[in-house]
Amino acid sequence: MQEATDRELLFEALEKMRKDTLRNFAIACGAVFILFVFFFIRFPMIFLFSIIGYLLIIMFIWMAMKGPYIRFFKEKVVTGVLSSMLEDVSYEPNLGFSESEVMESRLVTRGNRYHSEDLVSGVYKGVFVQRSDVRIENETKSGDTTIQTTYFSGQWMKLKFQKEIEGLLYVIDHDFPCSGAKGIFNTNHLDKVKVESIAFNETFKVYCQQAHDAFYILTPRTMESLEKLASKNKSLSILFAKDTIHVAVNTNRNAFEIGLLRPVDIDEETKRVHDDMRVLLDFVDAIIAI
Amino acid sequence: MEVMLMIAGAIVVLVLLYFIAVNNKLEQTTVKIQEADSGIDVFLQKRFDTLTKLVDITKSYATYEKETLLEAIKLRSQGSIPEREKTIATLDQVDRDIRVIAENYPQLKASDLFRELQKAAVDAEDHLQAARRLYNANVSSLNQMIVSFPQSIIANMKGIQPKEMFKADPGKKEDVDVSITID
Repeated sequence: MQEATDRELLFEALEKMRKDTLRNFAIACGAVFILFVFFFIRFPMIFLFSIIGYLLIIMFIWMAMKGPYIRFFKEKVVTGVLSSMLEDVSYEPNLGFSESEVMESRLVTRGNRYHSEDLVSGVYKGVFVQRSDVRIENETKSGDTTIQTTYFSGQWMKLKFQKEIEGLLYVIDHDFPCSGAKGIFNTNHLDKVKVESIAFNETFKVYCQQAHDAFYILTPRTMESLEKLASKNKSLSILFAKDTIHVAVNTNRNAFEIGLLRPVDIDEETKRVHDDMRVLLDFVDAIIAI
Repeated sequence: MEVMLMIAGAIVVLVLLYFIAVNNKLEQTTVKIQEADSGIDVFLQKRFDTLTKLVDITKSYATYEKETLLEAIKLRSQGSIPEREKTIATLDQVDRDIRVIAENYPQLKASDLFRELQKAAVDAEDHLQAARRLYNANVSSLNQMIVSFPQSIIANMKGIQPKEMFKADPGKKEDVDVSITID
């Protein structure tokens, strides 16, 4: 009963904040528009620059105004979901994994733009895990045209593993964006290994420095669990390095973000955050079972 | 005529290159099998050592016939796959018996050293399983090449025969007699 009331209050607070933000944004747009009309009347020769300037200011206002709403959502909804799934949870919306750490894993193609946020740390079934949203893009310029290619956008998780291996072991989903990229796995003296399971070989590519490591980590039970995970979540790739595991799930979206334009559905948003986190924790379950 | 000679020459070169490629692949796979084979010995020894230590600390709680383990290592040194499968089955049995003893002696089970060694024994077993699976994967790759045409021609020329694989889990299929007396 108390929980239902809390949800109701949270919904009302979020909706009020959303509507206020949209209203304030509309007022700000109108005010800026009037300013630009005066500016245009005064300097008609720089019409094009005025339009571009107007759009840039509108974009800046939008980003600045939606910030508090998203922070409020993360603070109230996301933190609640995470606390129900992890012990000793710590959530830092503005922090993430360092670029060097993610790039050095070589799980993803190196781009020239990197962003990471929503760092969550906590303990799940005795295992300390950290996750963060990561976005890697590559921006190239050809004359006046700027081409932006997204190499990876999704969840990244790091955890310590109870088993230790000698070298590096990559388990790459065939659908993972970098799996077709040549060059990434040609370094570090990595060999492609085929395991006994035909179904597993059809879902994942396995690269390693020592074949023994692949068979040590990829037991029949683990392979079965990973196949199940991959059937539910395409684009799952893993690096086992010594006693550390990096997991990258390319979802093409930010897991803990919320849109401003449509009314909040707390149940739906809670489920979405829960499901995204569950993908990572299912992996931990599969690994604990080894 | 010149064109014909060039085509014939190109075919000969292609056949030669193919022969070299297949020959190298067969040689590489054979080397990988040998490496995997010695890997099995390494992890078999590691598992034997760990179980021996476990038996040593279990002895103070139960009288255990240590000779069974010595028998296991003797079988291992003989080297053929069925013999090593038998050794692995013996070690599996020893492992199971130690667990049974530990169930009957809570002090033993609670001992830090025992728990540490048991963890090491499980790890050694996992490594041994991995070494066997790697060996089987390499043997499977070689055996597939031997039966696939036209690689089979080159394999026959080199006198390479299909190799025997380890069974999935011999420990579960064979019952090795290991005597234990609980005081």
